[in-house]
Amino acid sequence: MHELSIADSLMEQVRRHTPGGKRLQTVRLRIGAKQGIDPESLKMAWEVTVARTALAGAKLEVEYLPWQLTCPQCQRKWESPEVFVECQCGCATPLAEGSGELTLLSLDVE
Amino acid sequence: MQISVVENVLKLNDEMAGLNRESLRKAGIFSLNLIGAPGCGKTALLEATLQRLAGKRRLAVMVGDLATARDAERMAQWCDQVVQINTGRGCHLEAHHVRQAMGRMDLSRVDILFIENVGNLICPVGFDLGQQVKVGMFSVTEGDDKPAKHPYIVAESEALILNKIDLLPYVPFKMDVFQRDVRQLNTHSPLFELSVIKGNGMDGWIHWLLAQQAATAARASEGGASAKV
Repeated sequence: MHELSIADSLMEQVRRHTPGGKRLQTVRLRIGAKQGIDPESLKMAWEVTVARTALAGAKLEVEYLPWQLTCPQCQRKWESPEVFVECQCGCATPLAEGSGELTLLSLDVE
Repeated sequence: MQISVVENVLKLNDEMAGLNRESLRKAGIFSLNLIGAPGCGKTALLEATLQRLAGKRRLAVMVGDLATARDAERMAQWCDQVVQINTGRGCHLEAHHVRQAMGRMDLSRVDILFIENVGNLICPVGFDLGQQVKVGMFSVTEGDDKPAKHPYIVAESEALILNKIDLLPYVPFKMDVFQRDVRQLNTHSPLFELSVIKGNGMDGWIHWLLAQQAATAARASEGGASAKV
């Protein structure tokens, strides 16, 4: 449901940016881990949302910004799509920070 | 042909939220967006909070639900400004819901605005309503793994509540696991462990609310804001 309402907002936004007479091919998005959006679910929601509209068939491409983890013991920093993962040093409690970004980057039209 | 856009997908919602935030700031209102799963005790917490603050601060409540006005009826006995927002199919509140509800309130008579979101730990997190703080709520009956399964609400909340601690002897809930997972995602926000029904731990929550409200009111009066919007 979360992904569906985002797909809905996205469709309205994409419509405003698609010039008249052009056919939309690709939509590029950047999504931060803190948004809690599953890119695959969003792609599915997008397909359903644009079906039977003038945007039907347009592809969604997602650039995903993973969690930034910092180990409080060995200070190692790394990225992970999962938030609760152990550090190589065995520490089970790395601190997590994530981007809350949800940005429409660009469109391909023909 | 490629068209560069670079625009927030929830831009319309965020713009509306910005308007809400400005209205609330001008009116000197401390506002919070309460987010938690169905049954974690959001409405019960608000009822108990209203009961304690009634007559001391001017209170207003917006309650989001898919349907029914039951929650609003429950709270109306403690607070004269309660607006029910029925979202229909919607699994979360959006900024325009709050904007409309604000139009049905007299904001010049409000010190604290409570916005109870639709019972859901996921969808409401990404939608800014224009509130000053987000409060994420859990309960021990949901299990100690909920922060790990719902990291977004934990990372985004300015305060966290763990309700139903009176039931700890009866449920498999490891407090150290819960607290550790919370702190991995959010090192700074206060965590209030309480029981709405029994009343334990409620004092800390109430003190925090009053301190936040006093700070908001002080900022508004420094800014020379009028009480009207």
